[in-house]
Order: sequence, then C-alpha cells, then structure tokens
Amino acid sequence: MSQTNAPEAIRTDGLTRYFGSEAVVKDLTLAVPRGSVFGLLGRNGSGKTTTIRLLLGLLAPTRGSAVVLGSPCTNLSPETRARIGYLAEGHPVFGWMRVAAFGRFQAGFYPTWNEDVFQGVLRFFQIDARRRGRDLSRGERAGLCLAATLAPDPELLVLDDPAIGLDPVARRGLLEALLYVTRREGRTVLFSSHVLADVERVADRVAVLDRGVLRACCTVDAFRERVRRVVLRFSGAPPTLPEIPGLLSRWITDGELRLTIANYDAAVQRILEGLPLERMTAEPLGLEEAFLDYVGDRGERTFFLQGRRAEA
Amino acid sequence: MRAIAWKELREHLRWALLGLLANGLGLLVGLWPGRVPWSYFRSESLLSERFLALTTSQFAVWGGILGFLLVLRDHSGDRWSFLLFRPIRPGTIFQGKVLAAAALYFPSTLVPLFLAAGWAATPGHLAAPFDWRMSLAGLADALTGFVFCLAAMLTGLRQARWYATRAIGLVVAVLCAALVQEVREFGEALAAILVSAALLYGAAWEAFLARAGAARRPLPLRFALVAVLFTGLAALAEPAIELLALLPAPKRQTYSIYALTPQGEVCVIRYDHADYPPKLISAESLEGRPLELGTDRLSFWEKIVRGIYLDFEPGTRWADRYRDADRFFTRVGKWSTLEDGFYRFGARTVELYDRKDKRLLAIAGPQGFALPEHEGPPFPGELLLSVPNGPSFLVFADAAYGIDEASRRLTPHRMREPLVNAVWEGNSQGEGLIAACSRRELFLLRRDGRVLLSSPLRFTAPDYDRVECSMLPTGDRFFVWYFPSSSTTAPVPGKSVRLQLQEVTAHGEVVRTYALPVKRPALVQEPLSPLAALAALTPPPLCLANAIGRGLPADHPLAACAPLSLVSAAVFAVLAFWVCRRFAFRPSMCRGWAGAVFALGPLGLLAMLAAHEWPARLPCFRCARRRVVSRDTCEHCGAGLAPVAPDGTEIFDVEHQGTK
Amino acid sequence: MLELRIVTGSNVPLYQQIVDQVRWGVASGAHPVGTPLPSVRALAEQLVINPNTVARAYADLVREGVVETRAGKGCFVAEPRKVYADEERERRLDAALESFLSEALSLGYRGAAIRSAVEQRLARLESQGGTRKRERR
Repeated sequence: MSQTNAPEAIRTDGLTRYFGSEAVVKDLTLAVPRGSVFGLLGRNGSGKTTTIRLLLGLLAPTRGSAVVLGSPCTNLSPETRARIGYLAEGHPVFGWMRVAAFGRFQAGFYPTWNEDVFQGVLRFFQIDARRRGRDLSRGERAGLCLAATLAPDPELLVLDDPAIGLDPVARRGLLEALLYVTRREGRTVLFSSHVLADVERVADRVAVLDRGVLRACCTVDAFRERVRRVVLRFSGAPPTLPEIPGLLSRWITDGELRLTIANYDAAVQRILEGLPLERMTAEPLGLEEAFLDYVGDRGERTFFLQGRRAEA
Repeated sequence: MRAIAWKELREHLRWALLGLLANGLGLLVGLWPGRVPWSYFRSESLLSERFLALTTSQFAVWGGILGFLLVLRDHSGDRWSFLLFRPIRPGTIFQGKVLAAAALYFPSTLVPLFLAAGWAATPGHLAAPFDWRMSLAGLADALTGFVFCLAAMLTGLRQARWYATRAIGLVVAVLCAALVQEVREFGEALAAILVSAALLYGAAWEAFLARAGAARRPLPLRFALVAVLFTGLAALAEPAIELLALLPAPKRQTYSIYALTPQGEVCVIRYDHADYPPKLISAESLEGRPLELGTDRLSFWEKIVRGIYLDFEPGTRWADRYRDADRFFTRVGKWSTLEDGFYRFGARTVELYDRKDKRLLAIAGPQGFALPEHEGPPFPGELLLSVPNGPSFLVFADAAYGIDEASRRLTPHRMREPLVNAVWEGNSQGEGLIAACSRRELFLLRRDGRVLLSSPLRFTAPDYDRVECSMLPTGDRFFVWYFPSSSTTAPVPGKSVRLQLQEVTAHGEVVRTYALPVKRPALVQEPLSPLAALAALTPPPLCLANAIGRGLPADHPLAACAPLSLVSAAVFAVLAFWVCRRFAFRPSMCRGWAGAVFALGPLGLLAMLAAHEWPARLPCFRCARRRVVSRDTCEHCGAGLAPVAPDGTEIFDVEHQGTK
Repeated sequence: MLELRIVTGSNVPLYQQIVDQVRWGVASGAHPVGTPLPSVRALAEQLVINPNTVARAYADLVREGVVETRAGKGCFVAEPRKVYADEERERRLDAALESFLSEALSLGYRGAAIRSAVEQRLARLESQGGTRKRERR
C-alpha cells in the first residue's frame, strides 16, 4: 500500500489509443497531483472521454501505461475501483429504477457508502426519492448521478463532462459538490468540461487535449498568464510577419494586428519590436479566450466583414 | 453479482412476462385441437409436428431476443461505462447478466411447457396416448433456446471488425438446434446443448471482457471463442463447399438389374438412374434376346413385376428418435373413421379414442377389446408390423391380429413358428401384401390374414440376407429372389455367391431355379468439375470425418480431398504464420496459430482473423516500413515512436516537464 | 461581512479580483482595521471557487500588508503599513494612472474634466471614511 501514497493520484506514460488506424489519444504523459482539482479541456472529439475510459480501465490502451491510485489502469482491482468515483458522460441512470432503489443498488457495491451524503445531495437538488429515473429532468439526473458518485466518499473523483446539458443553477450545485469533495484532505478531482467558467472557478490545473495530443498541462493561472494577446499598431499596411514561435492566431483589422501568442517571452518581444511599429501592447487573456485561441484553428483569421469593407 | 443480477432481472421483467405470454399463446396454438392439413397423418400430441415446430422456433426466437435485450440495452458508450465501472470484476457483471438471463428465460419457457405437458397428460384433452417422455422434445427445444440467448449475447457483445463474424455465434446456435432435431436420444441432444452452451458462454464472456477493456483474457475463454468461430465458419462453409464441389453431378451410374416380365420371363435391364423415373437403356432376356418393354420412361418401370423386399433380420425402426411420436405409439385402423386407434409400444396395447370428444373408448389386447378401466393383458412380444389405413392388422412374432375397430372384433392368426421380420408393400389406400419370414420359412399374406404363399427359406445367412417375393399379376405364380449378403457390400475376394431365383408354387414347391451372377452397378466416371477442387478447402478433420463417418467411397471428391486438404492446410498455416509475424506476435503465438491453422485448414485462418483485434499498421518514422501501432518500438528497426513535434505553443509546468 | 463578487470569463484572474476588491474595500474604509475576513474555506464555498484561489489571494493581500493573519483566528484587515519601496509605489501609481488616463482620454475627456472628476471622487471617499471613523470613535 506504500504505492498508494504516491504524490500523484494519476500518472500516465505514453498512453495511446487507436481506433482502427486513427490515434484518438496520442502519447499522453501527464500527472494529476493528489489533492488537486484537474480540468481536462479540449474540443469535441479531442479524446477527453477516451482518456478517461483508458484511465478507468474501461478501454485497453493500444500502447503506453497509466497508474491510477497506485494500480496500473489495465488491472484495477475492485478495491481500487471502490476508491474511485466515476460520473459517466450524459448522467446515465436506469430509467425504470426509482431514486431510492438506485441508491440502494449503488450502495450494494461500495463498502464505504455514506447514506447521509447521498440523501444530502438529493435534498440539495430537491429530488424526490420515489420518482423513477426516466421522469427526472436533466439537472435532477445529474444530481442523482452526483449523489451516487459522492456517497462512497471516493478518494479520486473522475467526472466526464459533468456540466453537459445543465442549467446554471444545477451547474452551480455541481461545482459546490466538487468543492465539497476537496474539503477532505487528499481528495482528487479530475473532470472534463467545455464550460470554461466552471474550470476557472474550481480547477487548480488544466490539461488541454487537441486531437488526441496533450498541448498544455499546467496550473490555470500559468495557462492564462502564458497566453498573451499582443496588439500591434502600424502606421501603414501591416508588414509580412516573421516566424513567431508560439503564434496561435492573428487577427487583422484596420492598421492593427492582434496576435495571440503562447509562451510569450523576451525573445518573442524582441522579434516583435523589430517590426516597424507605431505602438505595441501586450495583455493577458481571460481563460475562455485563451482556450479559444489555443484550440481553435491556427493561423490567420480575417472576418468577411473586412472583405465587405474593401468592396464598399 | 446478486445486485447486477437483480438489476437485470428487474429491468427485463416486463419483457420476460411478455415472453411468457407469447410462449404460452404459442404452445396453446400448438396443442389446439383440430387437424391442420400437414399433420393429417400425425396425431395431436406433445410430439405433433405443429407443436414441435412452434417450440423449436419460438423458444429460439425468444432466447435470441432476450440475449440481445440483455446486452444491447447497456450498449451505448456511457451507459456501458457506468454499468461497468464499479468495484467488482467485469466477469462478475457478465455472470450476473447470464444469471438474470437464466432466471428470466427458464420460467418464461418452462412454465408454459409444463402447463402444456400437464394439459396434454390430463385425460380428455388429446385423442392420443400420453407418456411423460414425450415432453422431452419440448424441453430440449427450451434448453436450445437458452443457447440462442447466449449466442445473441455473444453477437451483441462482440466487437469484430468484420461485422459478419459477429453473427457466427448465432450460426453455432442454429447448428446446435439442428443437432437437437437430428439425434436419436434426449441425452445426446442434452450433450449437444451443454457443449454449445459452454462454448458460447465462454466466447460471450471473452467478448464481454474485451469490451470491458481487459487487455488479457483467460486462455480457456479465448479457446472457446476460437472454437465457436471455427464451428460457425465450418457450419457455413462446409455445405457451401459440398454444394459447389458436387454441383455438376460428378458421376453417373448405369445399373443392370434382373427383372421379371409380367409373363414370368427373367430378363436383364440396364437403366440410367441419373434422374427419376429411370431411363431404360436396354432390356434383354437371359439368352440375350431383346425384349419389348416400351420406350417411354415410365412404362418399363411399371411393366416389370416388382416384389417385396424382406430382410432376414428386422432392421431398426426408421423413426425412433426421442422427438418422434412413432417412438411411443403408432396409428392403426382406418384413418377416415371418427375413432383413432393407437398401438402403444410401451404398454403393448391398442387404444381407441373418440376423435371428437377425446375420450378413451377402449383398450384392445390379445383377448379382445375391453373398457378403459378393465385393461386386459398386453400383446406378447415386439410389434413387427402394423399395416396402415384399413382395419388394423398387427403382426407379432407368434401371431398376427386382425382388429376391426368398428365392430370391436379381434381375429388372431397363429403362426406355425415365430416370425422374425415382416414388411408391408402397398398403397395409401391400404391395398397391398405383407411379406414375413421366420428363421426357416417365408410367407406372403393378405391383410385379412389369408396366406398366399408359404415356402421354406432355401438359402439363408450368412451367405444370403434378404429375399424379394414377387407374385405375377395372375396371382398364381410366385418367384423368390435370394440376395447374397455381399451384393450390398463389397464382394469377398475368391468367393462368388450367386443370386438365386426360384419359381415356387403357393405351397412352396420349387418349380424352377436360376443361379445368376451378381450384377454390379457399372460406374461411368465423369471428369471432375474444376469446382470440385474447392473440396480441397475442407479442413482435414472434416475430410476425415466425411471419409470415415459418412462412409463416402474413396473416389468421392469429399473423401478424395484428404491429401489435397493437407496441402491447402499447410499453405494456410504458412500464411497464418506470416500474418502473425507481420503483426509482431510473440513467436510462441505465431507457432501456435500456425499449428492450429494446419489442423483446422483455411477456415482456421478465418477463425484466427476473426478472433483477434488487429492493431493498425502505420509507416515507421525512421525506416518507413509499416509497423504495428501497439508496440513501443518498431519491429523492423527498433526505433521508438515519432515524438509529437512541439510547435512552441505547448504550455507545461516545470513539474510536468520533470516527469517527462 | 465582506461582500465580494467575482466574474468569470474576464481577463482579470479570480484571485486578482478578490485582491482588488478587498483592497478597495479597505482603502474606501468599508472594512475598518480589524475587520475579520472569512476563512479560506468559507470564502471559497461562498464564492464557489477553488480554495487555492482564495488562499493565493489572501497570500497576496498579506504580502501587500492589507491583511494580517493571527494564528488560529484567521485573517483581519491590518493597520496600513508601507509594504513597497517608494520607487515601487511610484511605479505602481504610474501604471494605474496610465491605464486610467488612456481610458479617460479615449472616451474624449480632457484635462479639466478628468481633474475635477478625480477630485470629486476623492472628496466623496474622504467624507465616507470620515463618517466611519467618527462612528467608531
């Protein structure tokens, strides 16, 4: 059991999964520190769900390995699985099962089931225990799933897009529940999400997957600090840009060139200052904008608006 | 496991109730009184064709539906993940599902079946005798349905690249159902069901674990999967190969037989038996004089005098399987009356039923008819022959009995010595003759008991094993052919036993004897069609089974293919080895598969391809040759993997880079 | 009690928003010296944000001297003290002025208007602070 006290709750090494000849997760190497709230970001189809399934041993990796709570992911013992709470995407519940029966069903698998927590989350989401799964609204279903996931008091909570389809109130409830988990020492949360506001609120660290490749893995603050928007103002027409390392996107408006640059540093600054500039300002971005530019299409973006203006 | 089983049980309970209703309704239709045209000659019983057709089909369909329901409802990615990720072994979840399947399937089939059996067993419901063993056929069908359930689970669970190979489990279930139909005894059917169920259970378990992301599955389960795949493929391919290889009839036989003209003249007839009716090639007298028998096909066959073949020893009853009603009783009496008579083999009595109100009217034994409650002694010994459609005529060893159901009269005809065998040759109207023999004597009888011919057997075993009795149309001249035992089997070298033909009087005095050389079919071998080469694709074990098990002659394509099939198996084994090497399998695995494919032939290769999940092969970044994606290093040049080229936009913590 | 609001999606990090609001509250006199701050955990749950973010904001506030920690009791608004060297203070004032002025100028205000607006605002702040102080006495 000494292994279980490793500083990371999850560590992957070259984790790769192919579907046919297509690599859905490619050479993923990352570590989720114990006690952290870890956000897994990426566009649809970037391999988030596949990564989570690989980590939980629901899919066999084509190559590479992962260690979850000290056990290899391909061979998670029931004891290790009992320490992991998993919320599958889309909040699946059994439609015919009543809420109370669902609780009893799940409780039967977990020796550490805490009925107070289950009832508490149900109360929080105002779910009547006599209702059937299929009659619940999306938010209530999420609440039920969350209750069932939290009740065994998991050491590691893995949530696959928990905010999907939730209204703001339910989403807020979800975040509160996440924070509730981290109240206990050494509890780790890994969640994937599209909702950047949620990530900004609760995550310590983020990993960004882009078409199966890990592009970023750092703290939330590091991510937003290291993606910078630089606005260059030229007196005349913008010159052709030299090679700028870390350039994510550029946006040309009248006499102005807006660049989004990852890992903005002095070297980049020198390159930019070498241009015939009128003025240059560099500013940090909001997490959402940073993410948009980060995983959006790379390269030049010009709005058709500009084309219209040229015609006029 | 209990919780999973309970969940599945509860989830599909409604379906099971629906299945129970449907099954009950089906069995009710199967036993509904009243004759349907196709079962006119069969009686209504638990073994009636209608009832068995329903049990066979509805239990198979219901089993299949239940199997699919059990896996497909949890099929979508997230529900599957949700079900699977819990602190128990994935295998336990599968076993829970199977347990639930059994708990849903068996009540929903066995309860209607037992109710049907109970209904049939209650007097006054069916106008036929009842024996509890008659419910075994339905039971076998119900058990087979569970095999379909497992096969459907396998099909639903398998993640095969080739979609068609997913359904192979169902082919195995169909094969099992065919065996259950064909075998003689219930025990054999049970064995077939247990073996199929065990294989499909193992294969479905394997498929479940594969879907559950287990990288390594236990070897016995993998064996079960390969066995299922091979069996299914063989069941599909073997008939196809046989059909294609034998499509152009590879040989045509012309037969030469001795025959009698209506005038009592012995002649030799050569005919072609390629199709029916046979085509006459020539007809001549023993001296070689051509005979006029007519030129059209039918006329010669009808003009020659045909006799009744009678073996010296009784053969096995043709229909004596656990699912044939004829094992338990046979219909006697005239079929157009309102009363149905049955001879029960077990009780050795005749039972007479009212066809309308299903009442048992009377029971007949050797001492005549008695009321149902006053059952007399049973007929002695085995029934040798029951003559169909007419006043009942039952032949036993010591006596024959004419039974007139209408007047409830019984006429015994004592035999001079115990009979060994008896056969009936006649038409469906009940017109014809009975031939019977004791150890020393031969009889020709009419169904009213009148003896037309009684003649000592002049040639007997071991050199002769059967006779043919012919009566000329005039009704006063009899011919008896004695066939050597060797005429049906291969001739014994150095020993020539001749075909004997005697003309005898009605009292057995010999008028004339012919000793004739045995004619054997002249074989005209046609060149094998090119398609016959397909037979070489037959797996060697099946070739062997064909040659030995089915007694095919050595020159039959399916038997002649044995050496060729070894060659093809060797070629495919090399191919299998090559494929395994290409996908960088362990050497022991390569050798194992090559051996397996050598034993199983081309179908083994297909089974191998279907059993594995084949990793993609993509060009290596260093040596540019295609390499398997599932290995850490290139199997050709040992290079690792192409590192993902950083483009300067990566954002990693110092800590993270430390872990890299 | 502190009334904090945070906005996600802005280009100001959450911890910075907390720092700014507390600082403003203290500077404006809304939170007199000695006002207790909620615990990290309580504020995190109140705002529904990661406790580490709150902890980081508090750490910054402590470093800047706006807030002090008392062992076992939590954080309290501290007596104002100089944390920065004069040079640094001037640099920070300069930076604040620059962003304020560029905004104001781009809105079309010119010298006199800006000056009077700043003075009005300052006067109001002082009067508020004055009433609070009086009350405390």
